[in-house]
Amino acid sequence: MIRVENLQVELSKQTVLSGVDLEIENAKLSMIVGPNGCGKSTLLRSIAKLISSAKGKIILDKRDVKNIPIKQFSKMLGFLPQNPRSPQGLKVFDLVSRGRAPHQSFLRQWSDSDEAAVKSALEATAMTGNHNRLLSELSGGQKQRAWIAMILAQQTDIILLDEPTSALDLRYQFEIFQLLKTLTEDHGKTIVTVVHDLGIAARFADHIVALKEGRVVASGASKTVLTSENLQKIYDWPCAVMQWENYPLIIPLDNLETA
Amino acid sequence: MIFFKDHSQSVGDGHWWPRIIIISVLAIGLGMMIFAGLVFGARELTLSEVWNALRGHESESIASITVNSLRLPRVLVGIVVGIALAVAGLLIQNITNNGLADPGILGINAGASTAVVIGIWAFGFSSSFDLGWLSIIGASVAIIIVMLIGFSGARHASPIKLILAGAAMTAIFSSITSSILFLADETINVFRHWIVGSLSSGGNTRLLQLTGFLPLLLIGMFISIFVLRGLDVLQLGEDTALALGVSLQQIRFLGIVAIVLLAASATAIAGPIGFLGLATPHVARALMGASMIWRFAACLFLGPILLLGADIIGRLLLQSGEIQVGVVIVFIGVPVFLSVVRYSKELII
Amino acid sequence: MTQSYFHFKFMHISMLFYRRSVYFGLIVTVCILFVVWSSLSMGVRNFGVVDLWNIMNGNGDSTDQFMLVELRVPRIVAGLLAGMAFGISGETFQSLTHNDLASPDMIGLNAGAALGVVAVLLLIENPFIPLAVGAVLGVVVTALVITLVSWRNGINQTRFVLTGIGVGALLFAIVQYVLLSANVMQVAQAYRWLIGSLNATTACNISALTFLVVSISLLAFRTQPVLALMDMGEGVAQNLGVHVSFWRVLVIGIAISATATAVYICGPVAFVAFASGPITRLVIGRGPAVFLSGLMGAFLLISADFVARTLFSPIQLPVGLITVFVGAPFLIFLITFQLKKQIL
Repeated sequence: MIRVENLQVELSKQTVLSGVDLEIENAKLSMIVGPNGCGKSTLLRSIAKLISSAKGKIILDKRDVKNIPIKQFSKMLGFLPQNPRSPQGLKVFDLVSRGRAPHQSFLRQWSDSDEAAVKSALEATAMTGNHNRLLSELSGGQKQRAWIAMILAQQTDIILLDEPTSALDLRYQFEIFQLLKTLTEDHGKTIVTVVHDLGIAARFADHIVALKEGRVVASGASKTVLTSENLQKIYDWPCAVMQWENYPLIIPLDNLETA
Repeated sequence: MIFFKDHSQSVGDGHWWPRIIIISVLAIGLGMMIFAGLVFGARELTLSEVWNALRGHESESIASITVNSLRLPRVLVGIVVGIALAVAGLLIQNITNNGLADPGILGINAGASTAVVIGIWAFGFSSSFDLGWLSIIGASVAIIIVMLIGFSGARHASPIKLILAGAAMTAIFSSITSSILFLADETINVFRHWIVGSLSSGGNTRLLQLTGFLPLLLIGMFISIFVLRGLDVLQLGEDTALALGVSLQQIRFLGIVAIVLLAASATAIAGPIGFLGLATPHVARALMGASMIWRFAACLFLGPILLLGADIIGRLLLQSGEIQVGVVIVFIGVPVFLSVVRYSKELII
Repeated sequence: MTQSYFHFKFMHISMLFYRRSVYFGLIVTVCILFVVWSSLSMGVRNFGVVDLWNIMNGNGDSTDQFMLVELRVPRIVAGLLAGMAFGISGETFQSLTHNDLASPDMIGLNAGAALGVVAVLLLIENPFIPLAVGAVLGVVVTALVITLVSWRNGINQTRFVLTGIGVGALLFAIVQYVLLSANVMQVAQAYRWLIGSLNATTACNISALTFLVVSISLLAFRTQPVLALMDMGEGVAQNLGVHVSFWRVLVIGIAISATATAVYICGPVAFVAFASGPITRLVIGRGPAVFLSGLMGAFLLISADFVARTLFSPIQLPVGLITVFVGAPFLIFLITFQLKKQIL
């Protein structure tokens, strides 16, 4: 379980997060939503220990993350930024095997457990057939799956993803989130992603955290968070929420105030 | 990408009278600088001596000779070179969308140096007029190559790419320069005096040079005034400019021609002076806001003020002799450059 | 799945070596040996293989003995060491900044060396202080200044490079001004030193330098996997267990000491540091390749020096002159063809 207590972040003298409290349950797919610039990515990066100026507490398995050494932390939590830099000339296998870095050392660069972890990560993401292809040859969806395979090879219980499907077509978006869903359900991973698309959140999230201007506005199951009152509060825009099968369906309305 | 565009302030908005006041203050400042340039120096002159000399009284006196044949030409050269470099800097920063651009940073000085060294070495040139023409050729070659590199490729003319292209061309040119200097020791003596930009004149040579290159400078100024409006619109972004019917190709091409004419002639007259073109437009923006036309007006005064100021500082710092203005201006310009690098919020990487 | 790697296993040690890198390293080593052999045998006097063998074993006449053991061998060794150091420093800076144009010769370190040399030559005027000491101090101080000025909550690569360019311009202006007040002989000496050459390396303490360069190379070899992770962005690297702030300082330290060592040996020879990394990566298809770039640098420098020494023999050109005329076109090539693909 991840618990965030009174998290405050200032970046270049601007308050980005002002007192965030939240809890994220194990083996669930949680999603962070909110308007542009509300601090979604910053929240995720703070949990990943990537923002050194963050104030407040982030507790992971009853330990304050500040006290966990980097190497040990890298075996507990995997983080994928929004547009990671793909170095030139790397093949899928090379990329995925770099996810094993936390388990390796300079003199012990490759072992059977590394091999097994990479294999199962490639299988889980259906990338086994592509393992010998260059990253630059892959389609957007395949590339994203390769990066997710890298995080899986890291074999952490917690995985944080910053907008993993931001540049992908509908079909690839769904493939990726279905994959994330199975990872939580079948492999017991705790996954937190930032998403832009409320449709995706409504469809896949076990738990939604809505941010606005650096604060948590609503948090809970998708049906309780994605209501028309909440959406008005979060996005300053009227929306109707309907029910389709068991999921909320969001329809943005004309804004009568501005019209 | 670095964006130094100020979108919050649409072009040409606001009241015009505060800016008129600023311009008047600048004009007074320039007047004081000119005056200081005539009064201060190795020989202290009184105000009345300067005044008399300017009016042509006692034309044989030392004061008169000092003022009319040493200090006045120097001030005139300073004004013209200052304007040329400041306007060239303004245009280059606007066209490349790059607050760090400057004729020096983009390799113009190094190109001019190489051409000058080749001229001294291979053809035995030493008159400053010949060196002036050579530097114009070298500067044009350099800036054309840098622009070709900068505007080619997938994401054209990203500011960092232009600067690195400039740095790379500087490295190439200065390597060639130092190789020639190695092969021919005797070129060093002529060259090392040229490479430090200066306003001081042995006799009236710089003034003569100024008159020689004046046509080029005037053409450059006319072109810059002509493209000013188009560049103003270009600040709103290329798409907007296209939608408003501004021809990007034409504006850019003419702008680059103006930059070459202005910067290269300035180099031909005074030798390489870096960073004036970098610093002045930033000061102008701080005073005038985003409007190109107002910044242009401010640059007309700010360039000479900064250059003459640096020249006076260089003369006053040493008891005997002087620090050339090209050196002093670097000490003013580099801090501006570094603070832009360091504090620019828009430096998103 | 590791078929593109050699898997080296010995007791608890297990390491992966990219096959193409290994092949490339072997080929470059063979080339280096070939150039070393040519440099030993050709020059003012030419020696055959048998002659070489005899002289090396002490059975030759004393002039030959002197020429080979006292002149050519130290020069070749110095060239190898300096080239190795140049290659390592260039590739380290380039991979750290993700930018091929950010080699030490571009970001103002050479201007620092120049200022150091000019200061020793003209301001201190003590003939017992070698120019090289000034150069090293210049490089180190400049690097520290650039680091400090660009430091703002850590080092940002672009800021580092741009600051280097600005500081370099400032130092260059000072150099020009100082040279203005010197006499022509001194100016000529300064310019000559600033091109860089291996003509005066017999004065260097070769064994100490060897120790230094070998340590730098071993450190560079050790940092290779870390740099590979940092190549994916510092956030990703830290998440994979890399202590980014520690390694970044260490890597910059290695790069600076490598530059300083190389400049100490042969002056600020242009373009070796810049070209080694890109050539290496062009061949093996991926980076960072710090150690191999060192080998490449060694090969480039001793080849250039061989040409410089024999082209107009008995006149010995400075090696910097050769690297300029080979390096400048390569730089233009790299800018026009490589930068098109890269997103800068």
